[in-house]
Amino acid sequence: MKSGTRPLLLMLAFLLGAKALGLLPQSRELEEWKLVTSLALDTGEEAVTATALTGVRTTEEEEPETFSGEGASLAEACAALRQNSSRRAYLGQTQQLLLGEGQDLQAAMDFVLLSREVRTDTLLYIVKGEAGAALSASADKVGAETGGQDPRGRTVGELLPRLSEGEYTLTPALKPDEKGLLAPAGWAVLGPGGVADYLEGDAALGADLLTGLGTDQTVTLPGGAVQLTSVRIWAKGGKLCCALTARVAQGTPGAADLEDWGAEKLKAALAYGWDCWGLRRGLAALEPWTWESWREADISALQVEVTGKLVGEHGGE
Amino acid sequence: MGFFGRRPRPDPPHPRKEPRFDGPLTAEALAQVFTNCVDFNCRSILVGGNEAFRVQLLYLAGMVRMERVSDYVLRPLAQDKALAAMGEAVAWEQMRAGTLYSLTVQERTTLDEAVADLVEGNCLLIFPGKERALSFNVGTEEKRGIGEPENEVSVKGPKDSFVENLRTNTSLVRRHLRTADLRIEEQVVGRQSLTPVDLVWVEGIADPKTVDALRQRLEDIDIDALLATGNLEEYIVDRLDTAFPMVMYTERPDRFCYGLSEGRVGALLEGIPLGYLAPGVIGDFLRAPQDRSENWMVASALTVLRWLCLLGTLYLPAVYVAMVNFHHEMIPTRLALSIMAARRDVPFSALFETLLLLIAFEVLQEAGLRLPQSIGQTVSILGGLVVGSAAVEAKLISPAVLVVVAVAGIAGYTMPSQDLSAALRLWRFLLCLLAGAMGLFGVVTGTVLLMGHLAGLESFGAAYLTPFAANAGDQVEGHTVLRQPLPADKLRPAHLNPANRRKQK
Repeated sequence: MKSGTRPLLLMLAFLLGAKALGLLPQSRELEEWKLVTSLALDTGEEAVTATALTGVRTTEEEEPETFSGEGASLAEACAALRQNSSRRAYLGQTQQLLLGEGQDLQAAMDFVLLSREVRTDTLLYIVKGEAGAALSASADKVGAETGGQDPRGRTVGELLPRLSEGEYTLTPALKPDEKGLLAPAGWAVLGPGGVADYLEGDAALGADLLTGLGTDQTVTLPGGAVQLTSVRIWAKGGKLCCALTARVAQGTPGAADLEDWGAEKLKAALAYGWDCWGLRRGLAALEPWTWESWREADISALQVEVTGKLVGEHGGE
Repeated sequence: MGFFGRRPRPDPPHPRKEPRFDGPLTAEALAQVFTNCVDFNCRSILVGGNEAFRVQLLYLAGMVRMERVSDYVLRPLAQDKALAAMGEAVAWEQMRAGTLYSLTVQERTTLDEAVADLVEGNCLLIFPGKERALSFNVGTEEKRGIGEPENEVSVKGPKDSFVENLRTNTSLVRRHLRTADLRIEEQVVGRQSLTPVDLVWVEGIADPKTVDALRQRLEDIDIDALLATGNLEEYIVDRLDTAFPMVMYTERPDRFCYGLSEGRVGALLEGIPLGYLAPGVIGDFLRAPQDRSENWMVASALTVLRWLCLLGTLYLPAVYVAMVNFHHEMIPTRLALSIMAARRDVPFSALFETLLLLIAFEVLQEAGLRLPQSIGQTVSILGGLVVGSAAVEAKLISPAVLVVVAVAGIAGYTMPSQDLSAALRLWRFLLCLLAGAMGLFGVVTGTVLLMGHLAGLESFGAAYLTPFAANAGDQVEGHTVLRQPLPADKLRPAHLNPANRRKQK
């Protein structure tokens, strides 16, 4: 045997020996786990409750399973959750983290950051009400939707940088409908102290536009209806500019109506005064010497300029 | 095998008798050598009908062409009165000078040479009382016709392939490479088989050191018989503790000649329809013969595909085992749920299941190769489709692992060199075991071991990982994976150390 092969074989023997002595990670077959795809956290008066929902493929004739655990802290609740599961719960595939009203946001963020399993690309939702109960009620719907990605969703990793800078940000809010099923309920404004506010109705639509969402949305205008095809936001000359392009879906609406609609929604979102989109920084970036004045500026007083463009059903203007 | 190591084996002496047959060169001595050989023939002939002038004609039936012996040797001997009249000494000289119609005639004075000539297919003429013989080349030329290559299919290129006859093969090489600089040097290898092996190179292009090295290694071979390819390969390569091929082989004369023109040194064997080229580095084994016949962009894309397939066949089962056993977070949720659902009723662990299927794959392949082609195909279809589907239905294996092993197996078939493919299959098992033991850490460990192993290999002085390694920090010439347009490919590969690097204007 050549001398070059011997060290390699020794290394192999060492590694296999280390494995036999349990010094290397132990394996666990995938099917031995309960694959948690949604996790709800609620803080009650005395205890924290963690509720987990397992995912199933829609093609499989299998019901999603919910189980929960309680504890004095989040970590304790999750440990109890694992004990209450028929098989060991695996949180590494958690797609959605639902925080109930009153849940400490910072504690939840810390939990995600410190957990060996939960990932920072987990989508974070704020539930108006009790998240665990809503998740259990919506188990069939939520459990089978594990593959879909919510375009409005914000991951923990996306939210953390702004929160750690002491700034405000948005994450989708949900609330149980009359049947107890989780339904969209605008946006939750997250700040250093937790959930600061909720944007609903026109403000939520304005937030959609400011976030770059809202395309494919059908808007009813005085002269007919249009479908938004693109939304572009930028800052210029101390004003917030927005360009909306829409395809005429019905009737003969005017571009001015679309501009009015857009301005109304944007102002509604800004009226709350939360700069969740970094608008101040954006405005100041063009004229850095004005940063001091922008830093404390009232965002609700920001001037908005909307330009609308309508295209025909087949693309002609 | 002893408990603390291998028990020393008895090592009897292996003397080589030189010359193999000693003694006077007479018909009796030759008859003694070929005792109990039914094909040995010794016939006494009256030269020109002269009772006083007898010669002995000796040959091995089957090795000579009877018509040649009868027409060109026997007939003149029996009918030429002038030969009978000129006396033995003069007749000997006349025959040696060409009185008998044979392309070659040589005088033999030792028993050893005479025996070798008889085995070669010559007939010997021995004069009574003289310890010498005239050897006439009347050998049979029975051989397989030149056909199309079976394993290296040529779509756009020459359709000829090497055959078992060495001289035919050298003629094929000569026809492709008409340069007078082509050198063909012969050695005889094998104590019992006495197999001629031709060393082929182009003078002025091939590195003389490589020629010398190959010549020396051929000279050093002292075996009973050179009857299989392994008999040569394992004796001329630098290292035996590797599964990776160290010399290239081809059944296509055009590919062989292209190798020679690049500066490689070739070897051709009697009885083996293949040509060997040295040195061989990993990149050479991923180039298909038709690459140079195709558009350079298409050839480059296919080469990239082959490299990807190399990674696929090597790593796919290992990464699957690592992900299913250790790194569940790496699997997309939908896929994880599918795998979970599929594996729920499977009684085996993912590692065992994968190894089982990999072994089954090898068994099927081996069965397909050993059986006649028509039955082999049936076995493959039965094994691959029927047994595979039935095993999935019976929940013995999961569909995911079947797909993974099948994809890895098919990716392995894209390798132009089956030797490389076999080496990859061997390492695939090791990587799988390491993945099962340590997850991706094991896969990385296996990769380090593999890289270390490959980096330590050399083929006739060329680093095996050329051109990825061993370029002394210099910029790699040309392209490593992609093929350049041929007009831009001006130089012969540097690792071949050719005497003349430039190959075109």
